[in-house]
Amino acid sequence: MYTKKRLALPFLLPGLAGILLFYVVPFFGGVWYSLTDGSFENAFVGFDNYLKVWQNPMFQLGLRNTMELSAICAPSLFLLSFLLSLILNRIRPAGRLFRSTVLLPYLMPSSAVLIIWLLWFDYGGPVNHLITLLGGQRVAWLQGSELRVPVVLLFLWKNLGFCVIIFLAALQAIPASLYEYAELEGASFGRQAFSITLPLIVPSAFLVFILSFVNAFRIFKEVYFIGGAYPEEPLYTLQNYMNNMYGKLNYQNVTTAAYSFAVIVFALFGLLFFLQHRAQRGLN
Amino acid sequence: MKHENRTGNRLFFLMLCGLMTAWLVCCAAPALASTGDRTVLQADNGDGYSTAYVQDLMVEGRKIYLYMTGSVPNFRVYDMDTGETTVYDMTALQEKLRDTEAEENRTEDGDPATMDIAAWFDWNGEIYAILTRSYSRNGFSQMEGGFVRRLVLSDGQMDLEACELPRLDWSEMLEDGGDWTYSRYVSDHATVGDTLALSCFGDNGEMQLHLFNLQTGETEEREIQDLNDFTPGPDGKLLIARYKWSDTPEMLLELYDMERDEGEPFARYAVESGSIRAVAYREETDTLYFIRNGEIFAAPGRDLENAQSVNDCAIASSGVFTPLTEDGFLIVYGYEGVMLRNTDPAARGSTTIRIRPYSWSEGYNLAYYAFTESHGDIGVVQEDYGDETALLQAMMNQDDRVDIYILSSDSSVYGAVYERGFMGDLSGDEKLVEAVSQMYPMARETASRDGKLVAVPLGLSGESVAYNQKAWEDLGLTEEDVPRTWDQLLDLMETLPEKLAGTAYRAFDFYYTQEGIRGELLMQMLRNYALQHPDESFSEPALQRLTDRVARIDLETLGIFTEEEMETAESRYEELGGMKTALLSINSNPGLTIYDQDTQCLPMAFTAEEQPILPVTMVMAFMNPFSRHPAEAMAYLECLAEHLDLATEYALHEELNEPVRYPDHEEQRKSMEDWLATMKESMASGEDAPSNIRTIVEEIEKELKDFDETHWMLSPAAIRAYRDRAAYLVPARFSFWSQLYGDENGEAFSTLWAGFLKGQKTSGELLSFMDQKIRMMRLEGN
Repeated sequence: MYTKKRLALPFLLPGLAGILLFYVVPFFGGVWYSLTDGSFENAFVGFDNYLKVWQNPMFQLGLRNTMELSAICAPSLFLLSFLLSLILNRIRPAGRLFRSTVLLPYLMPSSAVLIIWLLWFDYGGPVNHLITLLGGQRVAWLQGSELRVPVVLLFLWKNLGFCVIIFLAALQAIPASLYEYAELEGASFGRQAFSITLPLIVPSAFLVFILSFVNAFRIFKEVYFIGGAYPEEPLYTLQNYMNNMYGKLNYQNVTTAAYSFAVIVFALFGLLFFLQHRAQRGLN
Repeated sequence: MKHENRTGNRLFFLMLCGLMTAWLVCCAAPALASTGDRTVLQADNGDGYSTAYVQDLMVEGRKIYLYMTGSVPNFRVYDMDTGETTVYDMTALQEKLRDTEAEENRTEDGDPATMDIAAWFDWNGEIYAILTRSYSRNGFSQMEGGFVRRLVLSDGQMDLEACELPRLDWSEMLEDGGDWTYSRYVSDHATVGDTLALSCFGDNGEMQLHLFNLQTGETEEREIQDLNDFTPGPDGKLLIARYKWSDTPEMLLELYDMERDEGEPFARYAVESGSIRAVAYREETDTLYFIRNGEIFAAPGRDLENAQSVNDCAIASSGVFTPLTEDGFLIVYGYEGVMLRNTDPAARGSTTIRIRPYSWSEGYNLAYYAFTESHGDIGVVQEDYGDETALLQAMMNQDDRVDIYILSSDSSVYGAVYERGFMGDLSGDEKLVEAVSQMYPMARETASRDGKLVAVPLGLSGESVAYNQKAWEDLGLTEEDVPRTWDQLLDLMETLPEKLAGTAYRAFDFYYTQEGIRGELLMQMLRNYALQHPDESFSEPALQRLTDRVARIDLETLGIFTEEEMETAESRYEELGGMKTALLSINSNPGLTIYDQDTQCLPMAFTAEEQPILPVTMVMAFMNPFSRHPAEAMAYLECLAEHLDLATEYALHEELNEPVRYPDHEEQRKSMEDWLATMKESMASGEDAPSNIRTIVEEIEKELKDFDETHWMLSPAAIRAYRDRAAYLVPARFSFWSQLYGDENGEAFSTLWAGFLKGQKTSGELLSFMDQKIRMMRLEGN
């Protein structure tokens, strides 16, 4: 047994070397950057950069906006994709067609989609036209905090398909006999969803939830296309801050902001793992 | 035992002598080594004003002939063996050529005429000039040309004499405008055998090549597409340079057979690698030499892409080609100077320092000339201007390739390197510390960090609103009327239509449009606001009110046209009072310049209680902290500090108050006096309409009367005015406009700005955009 392990080592080495070189070293390199002052002397400054960055109003704004947008986008994406996958799983004759088309937005380049999106949400665009037809007032969607609405919708539209596919895969893996048995026992649709479907798809649902958050944290491309490096305040995300700092070659602030955010994300995901573990145990 | 001791002592003594000799040789060798590089001529003497510029250069044997034009034209002959220059005065020749009465100048029909030198060329060891003749027929100017004269140099005078060469057929060089004719400007010349090649520009800006047979005078025009320059080539052919402008632009060198009108490829160069100039060819080694990015390269086998650096050269050469001497020296020349640079890499200086300028300063070349003369063993590569954003990246990578950087103080990159301390400490250099300590406090502060000297100021300039002192007084305005706040300036502008009515003055220069004035005023106002109120929002009601005032100010009643109206107004320039002197100017330089007019820059504030300011930008030179040659770099910085151009020197040093005359002051006075005498003679002879001549005479007399008072390079009044405003100068540490226009939001801002100036956008929209962006940038920090 011991001999076999030693034999495996040479095969693992290239991969491990790659991980070491391209992940571990840059990771610790970044940590080192965040602990130095970036000046000519490049002095070690401990956590000064962290204190400075955390106190920076633009970092705070970016972090707040990123968290807010994520808090809106991730649960919305999760719920919508779950509901849509349930529906698609039920549609039998044309299910395959819908399942394929739902992934299309994910494959389309954001810049191309954004043009259409901006036209729709223009002050004189179809969305406002519809609102006025319904008796409402036009909204300046592309200004101020209202700009978040098209951005969130674009995010949902773009990422929905991918999450639906994961959910569908999980749903289709559930044996049909379980539902047949439940129906014979007189279980309603809701009862089936919460007693059969949900417990069996928790691992996939958790994955979708995590992915939704990860994607929501990275909501930047759309914002950047609309507002550039300095968009309106409600849209300024942490990625804007890091991108601008990178443009100014302030690697210290980039790495400090990145690691600070990583700590928050890890803490959040740790909590989610804990909750998932508890939920899974309860459902089992 | 004693004997052994003596032998030991001798051996020790001999060893000591040997070591001393070796040490001396090692130390002295670099100093004794000579690169042979030398300055033949430095036309720019540091005041940004030259009395003569290099117009043409020819080489005959070991002599370089320079034709200098300007207010004091002359001919210079530099002997490459002795290093001596002899100057030959051109005054007498000029008078002779301009003498309309001279028999040799008259046309064949006997019309009085003047002669001009159209081109020079060298042939069979002699220098020749081609003359054109100008005369008037039926009130229209006429020209003819092709008269060849030989250059005669003797007793410090230059002259032209008749020679055996026939008159050249100049008809192809003349532009016929129906009633008038003029000769095209000759841009280049080369002599190959008995053929003289001249080039000029055609109607569409294309370069035309004309070949003259020097034995018969016959001419032939050749069409060579994309021709840029030419020089004598091997095998009696012309070496020509053509630029092909396409997606991948390239320069093609071809050997042009003049007899067969055919070109054969010689070398090619992809322009993307950086433009090249001063190309020369050595047939014996089949090597092409050229200058790129401040260095001389040698390309054996004519392989320009894989050339090796052999020396440095900061002078910008005028054309593509330049002569190469037999002993391997490139004769590099531009308008401002001539240098001999060795192409032998073995003779190159022991150390080479590299300078990368991102910002221009008048003093660069002065320091380069001075340094290369005094530090022959140190090469200086002065690179072309580049993209400054690469600087910070270089610092992060501890790049030691460049020794000195030159940047504007308002550049964000300067701010970043300053803040992060990527500037070599110059405090150990006593000369530099001493030089900077004598400058104004604003310059010292910009050049210092944490009490250490880190940079050397090289220039100071800016833009501000100004008024014409004489006009101000003539209009009855006093010192008390001088506006100190933006509101007061706008108040003044509102009263101007009344004040200017019926006077010889107008509010602004004719060519300023309404949009231009509004834009410039607004730009300066907002820039000042950003400097004076760094922590305040642009959306403050007070600023919004002022912005609205600028937008609403009635410029139409001040006789200013819109951009649209200007297209037709230009044709009615005189009728619309375009000749009148402007009372106000909107982009005067608050720094000191030799072309300082009688203008007073206006330091401005936003309230009466606030200290008014005049923002300026400073050009700063600093040493790369990672430089491998700190001693040499500091020596060069010393040289830069010592060789500031005149205006900058005065602008930075408070104690310099001695006014400075133009170097050709006396010559210009004499020229005016001569002109006056000629005019008076004409008036007395009654040849022309007397009333016209009387007016001209009166004007010259008036000008001559004021000449000594007004003809200053740095006048007492200009210096005094500068000293008065120096207290208000504030070096900007960030470029407000480049921040707004700089990135992805630049286009949006540009559209918004144009919309505001056209009244399509409100001040609120404009200011909130600026507020958002500038405030975010500031809050982010560097």
